[in-house]
Amino acid sequence: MKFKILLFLLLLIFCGNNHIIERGAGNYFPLRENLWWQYVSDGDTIFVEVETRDTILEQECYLVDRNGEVNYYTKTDNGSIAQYVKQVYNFGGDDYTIIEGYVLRLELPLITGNTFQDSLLDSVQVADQWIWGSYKIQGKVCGYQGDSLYGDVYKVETQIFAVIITPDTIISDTTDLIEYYAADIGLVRFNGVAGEYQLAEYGE
Amino acid sequence: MILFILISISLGIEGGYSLPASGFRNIDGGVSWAVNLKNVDGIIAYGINLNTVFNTGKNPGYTLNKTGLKFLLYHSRWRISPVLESGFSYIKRSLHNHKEVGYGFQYGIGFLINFNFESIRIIPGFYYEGVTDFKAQGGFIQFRLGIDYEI
Repeated sequence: MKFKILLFLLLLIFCGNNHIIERGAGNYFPLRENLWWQYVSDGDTIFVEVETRDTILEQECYLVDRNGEVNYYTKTDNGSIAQYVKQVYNFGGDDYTIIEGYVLRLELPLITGNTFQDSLLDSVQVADQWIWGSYKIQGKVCGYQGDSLYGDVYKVETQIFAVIITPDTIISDTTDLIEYYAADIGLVRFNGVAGEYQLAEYGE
Repeated sequence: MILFILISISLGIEGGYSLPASGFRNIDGGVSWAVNLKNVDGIIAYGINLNTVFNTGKNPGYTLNKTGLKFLLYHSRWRISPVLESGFSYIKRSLHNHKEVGYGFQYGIGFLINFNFESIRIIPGFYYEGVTDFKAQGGFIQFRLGIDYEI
C-alpha cells in the first residue's frame, strides 16, 4: 500500500515537473483591445498598447501603438500572427506603394525548434522605371526556459529583410530581433536600440 | 478472489470525438480511442482505461496527442449513471517536424447510458475530460461510444 501511495505521489510530481499544458493551452500573443505593456531598459521606456480594431485589405486587425509608432497585427485563420506591411517609394514628392499586405510575424503555437518564414515581393512603375520591393521575415523558436515570474518563456529569434531596388540604388534594411514570450502575457523581454528591454508592468 | 475478479470482468473498446472546452484555443478537435477492463459485477463498476486522443490544430501542421491510463468508476445498475475518471497522460505537441513531450494528470466527469444485451453492453456517454500539469489546465468535451463484453 505504501508503495502504491509513493508511486502515485511520484507520478503527481512528474506531471507537475514539465509544464506542457501551460505551453499547450497558453496564449503567447494575446491581442485584445486595451491590453498594454510597459518595458524598461537603461533609462528608456517603451509603452505598447492594443488600441482599436480596424479593417485593412478586408482583414480585421488590431492597431498596436508602440511609443507612437503604429503597427497592425491580425490573427490568421490558423491562429498565427500576421503583421500589416506597407512599403512606399517616394519620387518627386509623391508616394508610390510598392508592397502592401500581411506577412507572417509569429507562427503559433510555439514549439521548440520550429522555423517559419514569409515574404512579400512586388514592383511598381514610377516615371518609366521599375521599382522593386521585397519584405522577408524568418524566425526560429529557439526553446523555452522556466521563469519564476512568468512560467515557461519561449525565446524566438527573428530576422526581417526589407529591400527596395531602383535602377540607381538598392536600399536595404535588416532587423534582428530576439524576443521572449510568456503564456497569457505575451512579449516579456526583447532586444532594442537601448539594449534589452524587460517587462515592467502590463494590464488591460 | 482472483477467480471472482476474472469471471466478473468485462473487456471493452471505445471510440469518440472531442472538442476543446477550456484552454487549447489552438485545437480544432480530435478523435479518441480506448480499451478498458472493468469489473461490473457489483453496484459500482470500476476499471482501468488505456486511451489515446489525437487532436488536430487550427494550424494544419499542429497536433496534440494524449495517451493515458486512467481509473474509472460508475454505477453499473442505473440506466443513466455519472462517471468519474482519473489518471495520468503522456502528451505530445507537434508542429511540422518538431515536438515537445510531457506528462499530465487527467480527470474526467460525465454520464453514460447503460444498454445491456446479455453479455454485451453498449455505452454511449458525454464527458468533460480535463488535463493539468498543476500550473495550467485545459479540457475537452467528449462524446464516446463504448462496447463491453462480459467475459
